[in-house]
Amino acid sequence: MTPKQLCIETTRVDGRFVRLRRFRPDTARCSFPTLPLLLLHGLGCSSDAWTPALRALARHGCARRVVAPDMPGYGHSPGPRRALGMTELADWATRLLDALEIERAHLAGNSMGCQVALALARRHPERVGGMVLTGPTTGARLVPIWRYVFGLVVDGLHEPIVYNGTLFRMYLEMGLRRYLATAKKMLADDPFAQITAVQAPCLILRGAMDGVVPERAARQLAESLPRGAFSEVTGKAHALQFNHPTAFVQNALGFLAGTEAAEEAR
Amino acid sequence: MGRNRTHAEWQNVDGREVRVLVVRPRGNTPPRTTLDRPLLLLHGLAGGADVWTRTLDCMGAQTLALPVFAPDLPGCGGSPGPRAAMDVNALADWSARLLDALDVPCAHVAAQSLGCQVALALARRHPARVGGMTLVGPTTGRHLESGGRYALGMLASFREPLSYKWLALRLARQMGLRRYVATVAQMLHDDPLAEIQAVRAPCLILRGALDPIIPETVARELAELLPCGAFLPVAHAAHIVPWSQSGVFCRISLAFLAGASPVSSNPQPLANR
Repeated sequence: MTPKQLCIETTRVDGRFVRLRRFRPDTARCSFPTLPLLLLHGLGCSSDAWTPALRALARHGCARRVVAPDMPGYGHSPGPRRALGMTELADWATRLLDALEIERAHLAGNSMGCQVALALARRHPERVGGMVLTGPTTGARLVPIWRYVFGLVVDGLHEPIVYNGTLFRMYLEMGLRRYLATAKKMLADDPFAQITAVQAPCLILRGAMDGVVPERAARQLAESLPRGAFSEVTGKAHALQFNHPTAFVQNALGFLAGTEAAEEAR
Repeated sequence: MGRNRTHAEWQNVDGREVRVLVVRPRGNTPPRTTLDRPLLLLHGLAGGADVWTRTLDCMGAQTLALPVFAPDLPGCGGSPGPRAAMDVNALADWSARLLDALDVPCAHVAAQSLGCQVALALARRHPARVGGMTLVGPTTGRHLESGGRYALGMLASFREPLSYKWLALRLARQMGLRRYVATVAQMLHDDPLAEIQAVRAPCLILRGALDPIIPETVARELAELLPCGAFLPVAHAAHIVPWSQSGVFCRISLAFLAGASPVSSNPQPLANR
């Protein structure tokens, strides 16, 4: 791993600072026109949740630019006082892409970030290449609220201690008020509502021990998407990109290479 | 947990028996990874279906919805072949006839080393039979790699695991020196870049970062010349990625094939409440 390939930067979106983690590949390796990859974290998390994945991307000789922002109100990025909903976060992500001068990107999400990614693909299809959704939450339509709460507790037992520690710190950075308000908006969002508008190819990844997202909901999402695929990783829990970053990276790089090759074929 | 077992089957192609290692889907276990077409695995020079056993185990653990086939090419492993060594195009046509025998109209192909040249010839000569392709450690042949460079690479391939070296010795003995030399000549004579524009299938080129046989420039050049090519390096692996890093190979290949399929499943919108 070359440490200088990974860095933390700031930019401005809507007049507010945004903290970003970036991965820049060796320019010599980038002989192919590859789309950048935007990583969207989950509820109460920040770009810290992606650090193992970013290191794994560097180890695997990833040839595309990767950006992992703290969404407004999460981690080190200040946000407006009110909590933002899924569509607002999706629109914010497109403005972030504008600020970074990225016309079109692949998206990878974890947990609630997947609902943001789906909203982005639905509302701005021209900005999205392919999507890799890890442990996607699906609002309150398939999974009741008590199931999410219960799942979060059970999932914590399967996650490594390092992740639980990181998660606790990230929760503190966000604050309880914003967490609850965002959770309410996340549950109100229904990714199945206009699912056929999501024309981007989409890989649903799920850790087999994921306590938060039931297998039934993840499979249903993959089957409902016009171009959905499903893959399960044995023995890993909800935060797959953190506790098995190599599996996440291999699935993501393989799938995104496939979507690009298929695009060239058409 | 459902794990599908690899077993050997015999098929008849051109009046000769062919040994095929197969992982078939199991009844009602839901697949753990999407695969929309059967998968055909083509081994390399002096190889055999046994080179894929670890890959097949990984595929079995994913309880795929469709079968995965790894044949012994004629004259290799347990499959008898004609006396004369077959050239790359003949092996490609033979693979198409094998797909007929297996009753598979269109398959994804994953191939390794010489198998990559066969897969490219198959995609060029029978485009309707090939969905997507994952090629590991491609490839020798005119304009890509000389015989001298190939021989040097073979001498330097001490990085493969010991378990593979034993297997390779057994498979090379099964093939015999005469057939080995004749096939090397055919392999180096073949030109994978000729009519490369005819290969319309999405194609992922994988190369072990420590591969002494195929230089990175060759693998990249092939990926760039392919109309729908992509390139990914595999860290800590030499030439035989499907043996030394079978889990990595399975994950990347299955993800690539899922991404490359234009439509992977029938959308089933949820009824509105």
